[in-house]
Parts: sequence; C-alpha cells; structure tokens
Amino acid sequence: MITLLYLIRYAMRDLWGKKVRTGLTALGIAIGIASLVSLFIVSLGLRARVGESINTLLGSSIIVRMRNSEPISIYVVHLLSNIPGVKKAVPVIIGSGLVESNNAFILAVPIDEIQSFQTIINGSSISSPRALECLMPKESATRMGISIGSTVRVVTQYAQEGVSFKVVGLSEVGGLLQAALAGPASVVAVSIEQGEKLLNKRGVADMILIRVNDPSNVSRVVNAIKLTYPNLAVSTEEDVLNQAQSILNTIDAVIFTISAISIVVAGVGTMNSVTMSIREKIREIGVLKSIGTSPAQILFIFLTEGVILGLLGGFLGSVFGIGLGYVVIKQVLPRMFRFEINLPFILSPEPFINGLVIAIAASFLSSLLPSLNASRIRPVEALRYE
Amino acid sequence: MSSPALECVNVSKTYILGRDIEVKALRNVSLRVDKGDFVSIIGPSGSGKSTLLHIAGTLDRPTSGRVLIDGVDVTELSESKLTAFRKNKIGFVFQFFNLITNLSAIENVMLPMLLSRRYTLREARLKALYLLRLVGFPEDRLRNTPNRLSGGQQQKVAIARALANNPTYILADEPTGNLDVSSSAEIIATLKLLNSFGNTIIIVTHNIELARVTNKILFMRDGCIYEEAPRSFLEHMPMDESTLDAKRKIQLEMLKLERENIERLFKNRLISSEAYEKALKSIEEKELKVKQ
Ligand SMILES: Nc1ncnc2c1ncn2[C@@H]1O[C@H](COP(=O)(O)OP(=O)(O)OP(=O)(O)O)[C@@H](O)[C@H]1O
Ligand SMILES: [Mg+2]
Repeated sequence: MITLLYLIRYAMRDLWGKKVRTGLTALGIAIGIASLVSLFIVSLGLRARVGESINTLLGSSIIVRMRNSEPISIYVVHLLSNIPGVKKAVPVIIGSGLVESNNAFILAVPIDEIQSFQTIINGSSISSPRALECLMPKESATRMGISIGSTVRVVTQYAQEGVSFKVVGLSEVGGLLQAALAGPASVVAVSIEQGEKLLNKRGVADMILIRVNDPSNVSRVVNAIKLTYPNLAVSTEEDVLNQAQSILNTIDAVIFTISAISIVVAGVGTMNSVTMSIREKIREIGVLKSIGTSPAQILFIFLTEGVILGLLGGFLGSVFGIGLGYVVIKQVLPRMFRFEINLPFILSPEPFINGLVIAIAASFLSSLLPSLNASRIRPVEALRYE
Repeated sequence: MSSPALECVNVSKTYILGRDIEVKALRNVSLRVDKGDFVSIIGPSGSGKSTLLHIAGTLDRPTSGRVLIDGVDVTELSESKLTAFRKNKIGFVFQFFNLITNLSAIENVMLPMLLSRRYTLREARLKALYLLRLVGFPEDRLRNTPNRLSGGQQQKVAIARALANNPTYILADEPTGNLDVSSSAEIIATLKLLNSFGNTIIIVTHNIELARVTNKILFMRDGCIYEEAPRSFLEHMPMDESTLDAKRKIQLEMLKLERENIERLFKNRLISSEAYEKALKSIEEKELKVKQ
C-alpha cells in the first residue's frame, strides 16, 4: 500500500516537474472533452424539446392523412368520429402564402381547437369561425412591426388580391416541430372556414387529428381506422416520436463522430506526452529497475501519469463543456437562425460523469502502449543510455 | 567465516553486433568474492569491467558460465525473480550517481526499503536517516532533490541507498569517476569504513588511490581477469614496425597538406611573411622528427 502511494507520488511529482507539458496535454484532453460534453448537453436538450413538443401537439392523438398525400374529403371526418373510442376528429388545413409580403405558413383549424396548436401569450383567440381574425407568432409580429389590433394582408395562390385579417393574438414561437414544419416562415393561424377560402380547400382537409376517449385505446382505434379505410395513413405520437428519434439519432451520430475525432486527437497528445516523458527517463527507469522496481510497478507509474492527465483534462473539459453547452443553448442557438430555437438546459451529472470517464479511458488506453514499452526496457541498456 | 558472496564460474559474454562481428566482452572469467571482502577491479577502458559488474548484479546474463550469489545460482532465474533478488541482495553505486531526480535525498534512500515491503514508512525514514549519517551526508540537505546537491553529496546518497536493504554486496562502477579529488577522498574513506563494518564491496575503478585501499585488486584486460597485474599493461600493446611505418606516412602526408595550405595563404596575401616563415619552420621540424 505504501509502495503504491509512493509510486503514485512519483508519477505526480514527475508531472508537476514539467508543468507546461502537463498543462498543455491536459488542455488538449480538456478541449476534446469540452466539445463532447457540450454537444451531449445540446443533444439532451434537443431530445427533451422534441419529445415535449410532439407531446403537446399530439398527446394521445392520432394523425390521419391520405396515403397519396391528396386532401381528404371532410366527409371522412364525420365517418371517423363515429368509430368507437374516438372522441373527436379535427380537420386541419395547411398551406403557404404571404403575410405582408413575407413568406408564411397558414394553419387552419376549427376555432375551438386552435389553442391546442398555438399557445397564446398576448391577446385572445379567434372570436368566431367567420371572423377575419388571425394569430401570429410574437417574434415574427415584432419583426414586421405588427401588434395586436393591426391588420395584415394575407395573399395566397387562390386569393391573389389578398384578404385582410385582424391580428387578435400573439402566440408563443412554435417549438422545434413548428420550426421544422414552417422553417423561417411564420405560422399564421386562422379558422378553418377562412382557411378553406384562402387555400381553396372547400370540403377537404390536409390531415385529420383524432382525439380518443381513453389514451389506452389508441392502438385499438388505429387498427379500426386501418381496417375500415385502408387508403388512409395513420400515425400516432409514438410513430412521430420514432421518426423524430431516428433523425435525432443521426444528429447524435454526427455529433459523436466529431467528438470521437477530438478525443482521438487528445489521446494522441497524451500518448506523445507519456512517450516523451519515458524517453527522457530511460536511464532513470534503468536505475529504478536496478534497485528492484518490477516491470509491473514501472507500468503502474506511467499509467498513473496518463490517468492523472486524463483526470485533469476530463475534469476541466467537463466543466468547460457544461458551461459551453449552457452558452450554446441560451445564447447561440436562439440567435443563430431566423427562427428561434429554445432548448431546455438540462443540468444532470450524466454529461459530467461521461466526460470524466471518457477522458480517463482515453488517456489510460493511449498511455498503455508507451508504458508497456517502458516496463520492458532492459536495465543494462537503459544504464548505458546517455 | 569466509563463505562466498559472489562466485562467477567460467563466465563469458559475447555481444553479437552483426553477421560475423562479435565482441567478446568477457572470456571465461572465474571469480570468487567472499563475504566481508573489499575488491577492486582495474583495467583499461573496454576491458569488460562494467559488463562483469552488470552480470554480477543480475542486470545482464552471461552468454555462458554460471553466477552464484550468496550460494544461489541466479543464471537461469526468471526476470521477476531477478528483480526480487536485486532488490534484496544487491546494492548499486554508479559513476553518474543516478539518483531518482524527483525524489529528495532521504526519499531516494527510502525507496528500496519501501519497494521491499519489509519496512514501515517510519522505519524506512529512520533507517534512511542513520544510513545518511553513516555516509556523512549533511543533515540539513535531507529534503534536497539531487539537482540541488553536489556530486559528492549525491554519491553519498547513492551509497546509502545501495545499503538500504542490507545487500549481500555493493557493486560500484567508478564511484569516484565524476568527482573532484577531495570528494573522491571522502567517498573512498566512506567505502573503507563501510567495509570495516562488514559490508562486502566490489568496485570498478580507474582511481589507483581507491584501488589501493581495497583488500584485493583484480586486473582486467580484453575480457580476461588476472589476480596479479600483467607484467606491464603497456608491454601488451607494442606498435609493430609496419603499423609504425603506416602512421609515419600518414603524418608526412598531413604535413604536406599543411605546407600547401600555408603556401596558398601566403600567395594570396592572407598571412604575413613572418607568419609564413614561422609556420614553414615548424612543419619542417616535424617532418625531421618523423624521418629520424
Ligand atoms: N550492448 C553492447 N553491445 C555491444 N558491445 C558492447 C555492449 N556493451 C559493451 N560492449 C562492448 O564490450 C566491451 C566491454 O565493455 P565494458 O563497458 O564492460 O568496458 P569497461 O571496462 O567498463 O570500460 P570503461 O572503463 O570505459 O567503462 C567493450 O568493447 C564494449 O564496446
Ligand atoms: Mg565501464
């Protein structure tokens, strides 16, 4: 035990004796780990956010479309609402147009459903199906200099001369899902009756949202719809989540490839540092062996050096990385694109521990080879080495 | 009373440098060192002294022959057994001190004791202190690392370290080779004292003063060991007529080159005529010497 402590002390003094090299090596590891940890945090936020927005939009609802992406006759809405277990079938019309000459995405739903699509933060919802009223995201309204009570001109392919709508409410900038749907365009919500006119979709819907009586019935309802209407495509929250998941997994793969490269670079740095340190100490290793230090103990000394470097770099890197992740989520992402991305910053021990473990593992592995070589140095040769 | 500490029986060491090129560093060396002996080995550079010491210290293996330490045949022991053996039975002192650079003086002495696991930290520290006192190491330098110690002080630490685990014998390779006269004298006196306390010491040295204080001097030449000094070391290296002739020719040719050089310099007015005369005269004198 004392012997081990002595060997660890030896390793620590050795590192302390060349502070600049130790510092730079640890910094190299720290940079790799920081990138890994910050990306990990962003990815955690992304996952949480996507899950959350799919959940608020869908909950235990079901989305129905035509398999060939054609509009669905409004008649189907009535048929679907008669299926046992279905509480309500909500038609949804979507399309694109211009609002005050800016690209916009038009979302039309029955006015009693509008609030489950858009969260209103200022003003009120649309008062009646016939009213020429709309909701706009607060951020794009501010950008266009529009406030509650202003009138905006909405132009579409079918209403080329435009229709004037009064802005009655400002909605929260849609979650990630909405950003993915609408891109940088803003989302203007109107009643389905107005949407039919604007987009020339009288008597049809682009998709139907089905609410069920009992969340545990979802799969039964899905099966019933599939059986009765084989040309309808049915997706549940789970399907959408899975789809989103596979996109997220791809993003993660890219993120972790980038991180892996930086970890490899850091590992090569550690390997270089430990190799140098052994080179300089060949003679001393010979002396250590001549006074009875075993190969395993020599191995232990230099592995300890590597692991200490990893520990230092990993700790620094994890702390930096968490800070960096915070800055990216709170400062960079919301400003980087024309639409706002607001991800939650989730502070959990997981990224920190991951960063530390990866740093230690990487430095252990990269110092293994040089340390093994050091342990195999023959004392006679080492003693003759100048 | 006089049981053998070290016995080498017909030990040879041949280094193979390449196809057909081999160096016979040791040829059939037989040697016996008894407990309590103080033996010195002297001999010209390259005669195989260090090689013999490394083999006696189990750092190297002989090509043939056997080595017995304290009655144990170590010739075929495994590397890990040898490590343990070295740790407990052999102390090394080197020409370049070879202290562990990031350990203090006292820690250097403690290290072998801690590696042996026979001492507690407290015992090791106390024993290190005694050993350092014994070799005359100044007590106010105990915490200094080697780079803040003089050569003589470092060598004292090295001797104390060699004694740490009560070795069967101490091997010292030119322990005064890197020291000034007065430090050498101190080290010699210290080794003599330690031997009078019963420590077995084997040293390799060029230092005649040091060899003189030992009980037994062995001579090495060309990988062979002699109990008596070979009649004359020089006698064995005459230069025969043919090599001498060849060397004379080289000298004359070199002087010719010198002369041409001087003449060119003078012709190009790069040196004064006095300098030219002087250089020429010295060259002529040298040429005369060769021709005599
Ligand atoms: N690893 C090696 N490979 C090849 N030849 C070696 C090796 N080690 C030593 N030799 C050769 O063996 C011979 C003996 O060397 P050794 O070092 O034992 O001499 P020495 O008596 O200690 O000389 P010195 O007084 O200069 O230290 C020399 O000719 C040397 O060149
Ligand atoms: Mg030598």
